[in-house]
Amino acid sequence: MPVAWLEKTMWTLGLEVHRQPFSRTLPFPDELRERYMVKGTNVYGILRAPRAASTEALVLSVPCSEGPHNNQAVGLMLALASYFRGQIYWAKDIIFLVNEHDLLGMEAWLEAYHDVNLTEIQSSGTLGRAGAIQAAIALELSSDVVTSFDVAVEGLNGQLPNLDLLNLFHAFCQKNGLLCTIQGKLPRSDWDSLPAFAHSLQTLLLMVLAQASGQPRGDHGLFLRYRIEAITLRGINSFRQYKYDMTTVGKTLEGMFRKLNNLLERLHQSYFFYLLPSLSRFVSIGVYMPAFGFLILVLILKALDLWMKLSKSETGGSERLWDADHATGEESRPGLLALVPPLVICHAAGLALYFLPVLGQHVATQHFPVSESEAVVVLLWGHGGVWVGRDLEEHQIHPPALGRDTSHQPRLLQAPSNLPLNPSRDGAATASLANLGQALTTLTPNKFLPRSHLNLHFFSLKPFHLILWLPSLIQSPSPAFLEPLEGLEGATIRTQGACWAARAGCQPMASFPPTTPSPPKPFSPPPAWAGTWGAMSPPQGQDPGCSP
Amino acid sequence: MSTKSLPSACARQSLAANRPSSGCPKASPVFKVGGGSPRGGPHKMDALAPGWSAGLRLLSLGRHSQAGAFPPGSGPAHFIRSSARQPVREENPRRRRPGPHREGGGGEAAPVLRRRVSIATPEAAAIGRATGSGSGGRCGSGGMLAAAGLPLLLLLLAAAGPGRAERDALREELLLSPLPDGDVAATFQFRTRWDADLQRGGVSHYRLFPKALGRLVAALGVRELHLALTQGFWRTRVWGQPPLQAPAGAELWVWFQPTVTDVDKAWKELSNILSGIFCASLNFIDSTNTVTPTASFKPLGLANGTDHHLLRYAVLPREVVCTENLTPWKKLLPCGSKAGLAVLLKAERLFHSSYHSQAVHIRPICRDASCLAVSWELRQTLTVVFDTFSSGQGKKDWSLFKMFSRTLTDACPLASQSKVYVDISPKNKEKELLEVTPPPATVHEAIVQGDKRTYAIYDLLSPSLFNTSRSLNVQLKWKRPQDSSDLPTPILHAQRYVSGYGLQTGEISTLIYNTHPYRAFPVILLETVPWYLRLYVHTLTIITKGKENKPSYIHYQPAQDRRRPHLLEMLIQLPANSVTKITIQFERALLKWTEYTPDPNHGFYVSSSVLSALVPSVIAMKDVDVEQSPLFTSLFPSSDGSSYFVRLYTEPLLVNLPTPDFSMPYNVICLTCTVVAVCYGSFYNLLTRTFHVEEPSRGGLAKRLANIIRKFRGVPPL
Repeated sequence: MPVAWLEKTMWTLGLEVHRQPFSRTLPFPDELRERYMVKGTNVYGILRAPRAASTEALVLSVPCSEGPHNNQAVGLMLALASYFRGQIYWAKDIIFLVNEHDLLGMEAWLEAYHDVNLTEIQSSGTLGRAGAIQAAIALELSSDVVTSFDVAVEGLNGQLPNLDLLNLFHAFCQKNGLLCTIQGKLPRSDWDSLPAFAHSLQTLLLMVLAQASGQPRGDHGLFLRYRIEAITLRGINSFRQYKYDMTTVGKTLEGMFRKLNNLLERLHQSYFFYLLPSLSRFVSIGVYMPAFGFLILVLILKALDLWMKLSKSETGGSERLWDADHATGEESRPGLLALVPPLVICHAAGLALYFLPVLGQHVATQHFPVSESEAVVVLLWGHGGVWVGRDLEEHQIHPPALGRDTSHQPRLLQAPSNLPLNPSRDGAATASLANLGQALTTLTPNKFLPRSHLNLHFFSLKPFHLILWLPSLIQSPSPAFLEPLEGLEGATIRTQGACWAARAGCQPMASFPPTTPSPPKPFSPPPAWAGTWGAMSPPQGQDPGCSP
Repeated sequence: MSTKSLPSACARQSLAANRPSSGCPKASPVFKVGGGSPRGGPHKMDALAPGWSAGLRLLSLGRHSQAGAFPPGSGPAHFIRSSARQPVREENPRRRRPGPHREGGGGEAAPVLRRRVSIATPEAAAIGRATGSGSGGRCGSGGMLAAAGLPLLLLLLAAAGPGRAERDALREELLLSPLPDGDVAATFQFRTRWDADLQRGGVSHYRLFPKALGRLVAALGVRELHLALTQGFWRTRVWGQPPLQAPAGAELWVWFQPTVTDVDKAWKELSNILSGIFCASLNFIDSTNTVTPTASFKPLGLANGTDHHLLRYAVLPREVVCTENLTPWKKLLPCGSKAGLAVLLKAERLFHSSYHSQAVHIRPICRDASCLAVSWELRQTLTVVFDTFSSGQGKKDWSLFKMFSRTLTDACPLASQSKVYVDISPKNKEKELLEVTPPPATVHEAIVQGDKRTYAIYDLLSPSLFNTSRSLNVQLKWKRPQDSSDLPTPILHAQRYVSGYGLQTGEISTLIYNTHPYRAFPVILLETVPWYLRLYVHTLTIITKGKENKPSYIHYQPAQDRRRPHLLEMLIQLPANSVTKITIQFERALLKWTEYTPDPNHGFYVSSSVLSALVPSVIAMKDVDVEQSPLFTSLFPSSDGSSYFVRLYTEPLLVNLPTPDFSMPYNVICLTCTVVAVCYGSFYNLLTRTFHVEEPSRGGLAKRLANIIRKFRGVPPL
């Protein structure tokens, strides 16, 4: 990297120039050069905002390695710096950073700026600082011809920047007529068709994969740990017919910086957890988190169940414990065939719920003097479960998702239990896990909300969906659900839910040998179980719901 | 008898409007206000003076005459109202009328005058109120005032008597100094010196000294007052040592007289009054941001004791300084912004700059060398740094007109000294890099802040200056473009930042650089940290060159939640050519939800830390005459020739505290309250209320007894 030239150029532009040499001993040799020691230099110039006390800053970073890989971006950055220097409206300092060795240099710079040492990168030199960094944009231009911009959001450990930053970029792309993509996929104009849906699904799954990998997808990913909202913009030459000159790109960046400059506060109160089926639509955490919450609820209920069993066995005495050991040794594993009835019943119920409103609407318009739209209101009062039904139904039309459910189910259920054991540093691991669970549970097209959609009804109705759907998740059969509940007259609905949930949790926690299919035994509830909540646990330490 | 404010700005504007365009002050002979012995003797008023100016003068005089001691118990609002500055005094210096008239000879006429004035002033006040107190468009009232003042003129003639004059003098200076990185700093200083003892309370006639401040000093027992309002941050590393330092935001530090019993009360009152005078949010100064430093701040003026309990210091780093603060500051000047150097103070240009700092310093000084009597000095300073790069398209040439979009045409007629200094010291031993036009009449060499400086001096009072051209437009050209990027680093500079990440803990790090090649010197560091950053003092580390540096003095006052901030003062020895790193860890407190600012996600400011040091100078300094020294060194006198005093302020910090999501609770609370109030409330009411017909009961035994008694008394029963 031409450090001296960069320094001189930035100084001539009127910036306050600093350099930061750094070095890092790698634990393994470099792939390209087979070296252990990486040395590099970051060069950055600070544009001091007039009449500001250097309390806030914005960053425009450009990775620059050997070769003409990102030269265009460096040039654009210098041009922007030269233009920005002459303006008087800056309220935040702007740092123009050229970092060497991509992520390594970025990490070195960030650690030095925040005066922490997390990765044992040695860096030296006096640093100029400009206060708390509010937002950052990393720019990469692969060639001098830009036909579209790809935006990368996934950061380290699946962290995401504030959605508003992405919206900002999207808004400016639309304003300036730039073609922008996410995950390398162009948005489609149609939303209702099946191919469009598949396209969105693919985009979303790519994002889930990128997040699950935990790798930052660009230099911006390292900023997120320091609570700096950042995205990477990549200029792509995809050999389209229409190209954008650098002026348009520069205008977009200038607009973004001016908008960020005008911010009084940090970006907040938007979405930090989201999934993007396209650049203009997102799936909010409010949609996928309840599902994940109910998955965790299973564990809690199971733990409650175990605790109750424990207290039971304590009062019961030693011979009962002995009996219980005896009994558990005899029991056999349920087969896969046992899954079929709950699935069929669930989806039949879903279909019924999905179609009944429509039928009911027809019936209502035939029998009552109301119009079709008014009939919906009537029906909404009548059937709270319209949306529930739709959710259920849509799982049926996506067999891949369902297939994943069943095959990955043990891992999925064990994952939350690992969660408290892995002290995730920034809560990012939680996010990626949540996304994993989310991908499995909420892949319904009607939840690809347009932004600014107040998705209250989705949020509120999600629990019903999940309770009904939980039996289909579990591998053990649910006799209590299948059999007519003769012995359960006294038991409340809550007990049922707890039982299902407990069942869902109990089986995968055990080691899971390849089971031989065996028919489920009929459920015969002991009389004691029909009592109150406290007496729910059956004698002999057996959970009637969980053991066949 | 309460004094009312005259629309003084209005009067001044009408004065300016009526002034002959030929330039009356310029044509008039130079008038030395401060020099020589005051003219005593009976005052002779020219009866044929033009009505408008005489009337105005009369009104102002009358107001001064009837101004008694300021009642100490009166509230701030009243005081602010009553403390507006008097209108412009002598328009024509030849008709100078020195001295107060209270102790004058006209013993019988004075009460009459006072009575008339007290009748007249409500009208004036009414006019002032009606026409607005601070904005333009009130110039019509000047004529009315003049008309009202005419009858008083005759009275004044009788009232005029021999007055004891107190010398007051105004000196205005402008220092233009090219900064090492090519920017230009312009520092204005207006020094008003008054040979009167404000504290005695006997002072009633204010001439050059602004009455608002003078009465403040007298009423609240202020010994020294230093107020600075700053927008921006002086970048010591690239700009060098500033002539006058100030932290970003508002800074106020005050020494009170030992006679003040309740210092906190006086401080509170003072900050509120100043808040009104300068239109600044100084009323936000309370106990949570006020500290009493023990070592960092010493009285700069005459003092016979430094009991630091009489000192209060506060910084508001969030304060935004703009024109509304500049206008009242300009109004305190004797000539306003109508004449003299102050014509350059055009707000539009002053705030189109990189740095803007305005300050007011009041202090008592020795009247003469024997120091038997006290004079009061008011310094109004204003520092602006112009970014020549952005305005000049990369060229570093500048001129007065380029910077201020005005040129100088005259001196303030009330000033006894009016000079423009241009720093033309050769840099990097290359001589004559700069070219100044017009060529200066005199060149002055001085040693300022340990450095030898050469100044070109333009004396606005010398008639030869305006001989050739009607205006003075100082221009400076670089003969060779600057190309070296290595700037001379100042001997002492510092940097402060918050390190770490996350919202639980953090660390405040301060780096102090001593670039002196061979001299070590001590520095006093003052840190004021708000209570919501809970400092852990055991984590305080001071490391110089890899070794621990033990401070020789530590004063630490822990914070009390919602009451007072942390105060940490340390005396640290800085070895030669070293960097000292001071770190202290803190924990971010969770505030109560009402304590968050309206923009909590912006962050919370931590005010600048203060570094005070006696920096050894590289070259030997002569012991200069402080009073005669033309520049700004005289605010901080140097103890000896080998070192000079430097006060530095570091950057303010912006720290994010853990902030609840204020939008979600808001929605939830609103929705829940509505639902509860409308639905649940009414339903509950309906369901739980029982309606039954009340049977007229005969009551208990007590009631029956009472009714029997009532029947006896003839009162209707219960």
